[in-house]
Amino acid sequence: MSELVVSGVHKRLGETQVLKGVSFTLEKGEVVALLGPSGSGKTTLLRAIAGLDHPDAGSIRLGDRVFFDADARRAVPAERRGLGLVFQSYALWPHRTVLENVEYPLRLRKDPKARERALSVLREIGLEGMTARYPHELSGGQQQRVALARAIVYQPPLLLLDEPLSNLDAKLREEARVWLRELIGRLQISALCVTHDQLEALALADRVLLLEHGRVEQEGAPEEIYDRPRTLFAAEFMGSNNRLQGKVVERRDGMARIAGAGWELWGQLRGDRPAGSEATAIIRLERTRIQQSGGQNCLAAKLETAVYLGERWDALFRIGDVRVRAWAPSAPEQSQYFLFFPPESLWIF
Amino acid sequence: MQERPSWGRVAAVLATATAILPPLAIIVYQSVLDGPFFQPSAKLSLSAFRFVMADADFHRALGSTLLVATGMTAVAVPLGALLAFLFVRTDLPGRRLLEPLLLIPIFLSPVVIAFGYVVAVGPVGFVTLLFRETFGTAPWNLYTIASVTLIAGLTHIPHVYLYTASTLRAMNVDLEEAASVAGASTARIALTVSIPMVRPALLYSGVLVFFLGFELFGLPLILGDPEGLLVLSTYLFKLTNRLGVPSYQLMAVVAVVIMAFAFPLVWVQRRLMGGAGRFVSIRGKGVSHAPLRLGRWRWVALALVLGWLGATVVIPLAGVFLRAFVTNWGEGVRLSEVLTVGHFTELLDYPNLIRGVVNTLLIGVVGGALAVACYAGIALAAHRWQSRWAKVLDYLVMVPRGMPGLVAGLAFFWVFLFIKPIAPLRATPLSLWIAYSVVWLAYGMRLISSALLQVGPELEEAALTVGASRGRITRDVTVPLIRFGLLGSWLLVFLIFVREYSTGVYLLGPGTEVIGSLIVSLWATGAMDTISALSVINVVLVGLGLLVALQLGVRVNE
Amino acid sequence: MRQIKASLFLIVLARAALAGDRPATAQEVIAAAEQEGKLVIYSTTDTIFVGPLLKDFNSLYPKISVQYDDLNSTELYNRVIAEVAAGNGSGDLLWSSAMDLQLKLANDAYAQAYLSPEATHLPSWASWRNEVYATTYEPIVFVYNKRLLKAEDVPHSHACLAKSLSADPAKWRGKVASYDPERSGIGFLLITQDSRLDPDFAATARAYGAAGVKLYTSIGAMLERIQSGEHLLGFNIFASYATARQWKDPSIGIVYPKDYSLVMSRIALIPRAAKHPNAAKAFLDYLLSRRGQELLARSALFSLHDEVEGEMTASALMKKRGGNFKPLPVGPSLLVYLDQAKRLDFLRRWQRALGTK
Repeated sequence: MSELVVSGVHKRLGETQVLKGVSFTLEKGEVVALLGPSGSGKTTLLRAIAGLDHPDAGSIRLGDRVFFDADARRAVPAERRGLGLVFQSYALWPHRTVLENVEYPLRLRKDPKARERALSVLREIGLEGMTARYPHELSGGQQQRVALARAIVYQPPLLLLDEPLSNLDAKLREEARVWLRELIGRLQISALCVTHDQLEALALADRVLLLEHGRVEQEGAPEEIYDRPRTLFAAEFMGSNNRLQGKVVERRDGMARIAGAGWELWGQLRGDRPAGSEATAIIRLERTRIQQSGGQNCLAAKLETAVYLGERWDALFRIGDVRVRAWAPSAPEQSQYFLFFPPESLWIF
Repeated sequence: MQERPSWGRVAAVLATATAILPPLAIIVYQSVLDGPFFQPSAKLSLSAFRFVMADADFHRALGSTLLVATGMTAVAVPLGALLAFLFVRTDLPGRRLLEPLLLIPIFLSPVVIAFGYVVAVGPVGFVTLLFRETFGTAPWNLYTIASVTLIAGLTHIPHVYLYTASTLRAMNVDLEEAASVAGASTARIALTVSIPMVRPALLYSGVLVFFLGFELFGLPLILGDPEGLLVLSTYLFKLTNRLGVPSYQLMAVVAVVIMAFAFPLVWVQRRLMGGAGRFVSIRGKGVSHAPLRLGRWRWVALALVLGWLGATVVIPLAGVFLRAFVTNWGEGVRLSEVLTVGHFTELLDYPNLIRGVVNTLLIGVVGGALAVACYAGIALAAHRWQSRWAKVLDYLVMVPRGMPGLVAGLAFFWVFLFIKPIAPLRATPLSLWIAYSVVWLAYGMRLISSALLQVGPELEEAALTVGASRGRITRDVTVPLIRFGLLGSWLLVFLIFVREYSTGVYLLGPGTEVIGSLIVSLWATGAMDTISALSVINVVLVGLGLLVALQLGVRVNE
Repeated sequence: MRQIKASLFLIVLARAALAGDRPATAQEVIAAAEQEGKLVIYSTTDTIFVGPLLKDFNSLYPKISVQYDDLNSTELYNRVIAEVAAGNGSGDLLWSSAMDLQLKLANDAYAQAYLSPEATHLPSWASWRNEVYATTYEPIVFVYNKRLLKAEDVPHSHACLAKSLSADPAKWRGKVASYDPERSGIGFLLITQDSRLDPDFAATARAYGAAGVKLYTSIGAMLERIQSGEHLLGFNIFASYATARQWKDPSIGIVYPKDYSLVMSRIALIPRAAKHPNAAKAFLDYLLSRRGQELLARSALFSLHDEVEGEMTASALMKKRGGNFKPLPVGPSLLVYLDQAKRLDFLRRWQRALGTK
C-alpha cells in the first residue's frame, strides 16, 4: 500500500493559484524529489503535507490516516501528523543546546529514555562531541545534521526535507549528497525532498516529480526524466543544454528535420509539431561532439572562447548567429570546427 | 501558519477590551452630556464640543501640543536609536556603568526635572549666574517652547533607547557581519543594516513618544507657566477653573480629541511597518555577538554620550541635588553660606515616607511584573494572527493613554465607584494596578511585540512539526526567544509605575501612598526644598537598584 | 471685631477651667462618636501641618481612629459629588481652603447642619447656616525678595504697588508674580475680592499688565522664583505658606497690605452622607476649640479663636499690623462668581485690563 497519497491538491496564496491540482504517491521506503524552479509550488506542497498550511481542495493521506480531505472538511493539525521536517534554514532553537534540540521531540512524547535515544541518533550522525554546544557554535554542515537528527529521532514514517543541500557550500554539498542518501537508505525511512537543484534530485531520489506552475510536468525515475523528457520544459530544466530555434521542414518515422537560418538538422520528434511550424531543438551539452571534419548532422562552427573547468573545457561556438556550447577534454586550438549533433540526442519540441 | 479560530486569542482580546472599554466609555459618554453623568439632570448635548471647538485657547493649546510632540519625537528617536546602537552593539568605553544613568529621566517626576533645570539654567540658575559672571551674558532662555520641546525630547530618549536596545540585543548579527566583511565601516553598518532592522522598535517608540507629547504636563507647567505657554494638559487646568466648578464634559471633550489622534497614529505606524517578515532576525542559525569596533570614533562617541547625559541628566539632577542641600538659591546668594541637611531631617518627620517609598517600589517591581505578564499574554495573542481582531487590538491598546492624567484619574475613579460589581476593589491596591496597567498598556506591550517580530516563524513551525502543541510552543520556544523584550518591558514599566501618580489619585489612600503623591502634596504647599530632598532619595534608591539589576541582567544574558 | 457677649465669655472661662480645656462637645455626641469608632476626613491641608492636631485629637478620643485623606481642592470636590451620587457614603468631615466650592456644596444641600458649641468663640462672619464653618484666619499678603528689593522700594499697599509698577515698568517688568485667575480657583477668588475692595481695580490691573505680571497655578513655583530672585515680588500669597517658608529662609519678606488685607479661611463642613457624623461633630468642635486652635496657630495657620493667645492669632495680628483685615465672609456672596456667565465676563474684563486680549 502506498505510504503517502496526495490527490488533486489546489492552493491559492493571495491572488495566485500556486497549486493547480497535484497528485502523486510515495511508496514505503521510497525517496521522492519534488523538483522545480522557484514559483513552481513545491514548497507550498511540502508545507501542505506537513500540515503547516492547508490546501483549498484535494486530499492527503498517509497509510490509513487521512491528514487532509477538503470534501470531508477534515484537517489534522501539524503537531499531530508525526512527520519529520528539516527546514531550509534548519530552524534550530538558538537558546537550546544540540542535545536539547534533538531530545525535545522525545520529551514532548514523555519518553523516559529521551536522552539516550537522542544521544544515539547524534552518534549515528557523527556529532557525539557536540552535544553541549549551541547552534551558533556549529558550522553549516553540522547544523544541518542536527536538524536532521531532530527530525528523525522520533522515527517518523515520512521525512520531509526542504532544500536540504542548498545552504551548503559546493564541496560540502557533494559530500552531503552521498552521506544523506546513505543515511536515508540505512534508516529505511520514506523521504520527500523539495529542491530546485536537479543534481540534488537526481542524486537523492528514487523518483523525481518535476513541478512547474503548480502542476506535475513529468514523473519518473531520475534516468527517465533526464534521458526521456516529455516536454520542452522538462528537457530544458534538466542538464545543461544547447537550444536551437527553427522550423520543422520534414517529418518521417518519428524523426524530423529542423531548419534555421543557414543550418539544418535531423532530430527526434518529441512534441507533436506539424510540418511547417516553429519548433525548438534541445541537445545535452555532453552529447554535442566537437569534430575536425563534417558529416551527417554536422554544422560548421567558429570557436569564440573556451573556459577551463578542471576536468574539461567548456567551449563556446558560433554557427551563423546562433551560439552553441560543447565540452572538450583538452583545450581547443583551432578556430574552425565541426559540431556533430547525434539525431537521437537532438530532441525537437 | 494556518489560520484557525483560536479561542485563547479571542479571549485575550475580550479580556483586554473589558479592561480598556469602561473608562473610555465613561469619558466618551461624558463628553456628549451637559453635566456630570451621575447627576440626573444631565442631558445629551453637543454643547461641550461646541464650547471647546469655539475656544481660541483650545486651538492654541492643540497647536502648541502638536508642535512639541513632533519636535520631541524628532529629537528622541534618532538620538535614542544612536545611543542604543552605541551601548548595545559597539565597544563604547564605560557602557556598563553609564547605562543606568540613561534611564533616570523616565522615573524622575517631570516636575522635579523641570525644576532642576530652573535651578540650574533658569534665569537665575547657578549655571546661568556663573556663565554671566564669566562671559557677561547667558544666551539661552529656558522658558520658551523650543526649550520645552528640546528638554521633552531629551528626556524621552530613554523610552526609544529601551525599545531599540532590547531589539538590538536579540538581533542576529550575521547581517551586520556580512556587511562588515564586505568592507562597511561601523557607521555604515549602523545606518544601512542595524538601524533598518530595528525599524519596528523605532516606529513603535516614535508613535508612543509622540503620543506622550499630548500627555506632557509637568514640564510645560513649570517652564511654560510664566510665559503663558499652553498645552492641552495645562489647558485642562484652565477649563477646570474657567467655569468655577470642574466641568467634566469639557475635560472629556479634550480627552476624546486626544484619543482620536491614536487612530491616525497607529495607521501611519502600520503602514510604515509594511511586511513584518522583513524584520525577522532570529532564524535558528545562531551566530555569536561580538561588538562592533568603533576605532578612532570611540572617544567621539563617548563624548556624545557624556554630552547627552550632561544635558539631560547631570544638569537637572545637579539642580535638584543643589536645591536639596540649600536653604535658598538664586541671585545674590552665596551657595557656600546656605548649605543644610535640614530638608532631609524634615523629611523624616513625614509620617508616611518610608511606607510611601516601599509602596512605590512594590508597585514598580511586583505590579510591573504582573503587568508585563499580562502584556505578554496580549502580545502573544496578537502574534502571527491575521485577523481583523488583531487589527482592532492594535488600535485599541493605544487609546487609553489618550486620556490626560487628570482625566484618567477621574475615569478610573468613576469606574471603580459606579460599576457596582467591582466597587469593593477600589480600596485595594488591585484597582491602582489595573488603572496603571491599562493606561500604559501600549507602552509595555509594544516592546514585547517588537521582540516577537524578530522571531522567525520557522522556529515555531519546527516545534509544531515535532509535535508540540501551541501552548508548549509558546512556553518552550517563543517566550525564551523574547526574553530581552520581556526584561526590557519590565524595566520600562517599573520606571513608569514608580513615577506615576495622577492616574491613581482617587484610588490611593492612606496606607497606599506613593512617592508621587508625596511629591504632589509637598508641591501644593510650595515645599520645593523637601521635594528636592525626596527626589534625591528617589534617584539614589532607584539608580542603585537599576545598577544592580542591569549588572545581573547583563551577566545572565551574555 | 469680635462679637462676644460678656456673659458667654464668663461661662466659657468657667467651663474651660472645669473641663481641663476639652472642646465643648455634648456628652451624647461623644458617646455616639465613640460608638462609631472611626472618622474619615477629606482635607486639603497638608498632612505635615496637621500632624500634631491629629495626635492631640487621638489623645482626647482614643476610641476614634482617624483616616486623613490629603487631596487638593478640586479632587476633594470631585470625590465628594461622585461618591454621594454613587450612594456609598463619602468623607465624614470635609476641610478645604476652596471657600467657594465648600459653599457650593452647602448650597447644593450636601452639608448637614450642626450648631457647634464652640461656635460662640467664632466671629460672626465665620459660619453660615451652621453648615459651614471657617476654621482658620489666613491673611493674604505680599511676598518679596529681601536680598534684591530694598526696604524703601517695598510697596505697603495695593495702591502703592500699582503706583510703583506704573511709575517704573522697566524695573518691574517680568518681576512680579501671582496666581492666574484663569487657571487657579484660589487665584480667581482672590482677584474677584480685589476687584471688590480695591477702589481703582481697573487701574491696578492695567499696572499689572504693563509690568508683564507672571501668572502661576501653584504657590510652590511662585515662592521658589521669588526666593531665587527671578521675581522680586508676589501678591495674593497665603501668609501661612509664606511664614512657613520664612522660618526656613530669611530672604523672604512679608508685607500685610495696609489698604486692605484679605483673609482666607479653611472651611469645614459635615456632609449629609457622612457615615460617622458624630465623630465628625466631635472633630469639628475640636477644631474650633481653644485647644485645637492653639495647635493650629503653632503650625503657621493663624487661629480664629478669640481666646487663643500668641503671635499667630487674629487678635495679635490686628494689634500688630493695625490695618484693614477683610475676611471673606462665609456666605452666599462666595457663590456669585460660580455663575458661569459672570465668571467668564469677569475673566474677559481681566484679560482686557491686563492688555493681553
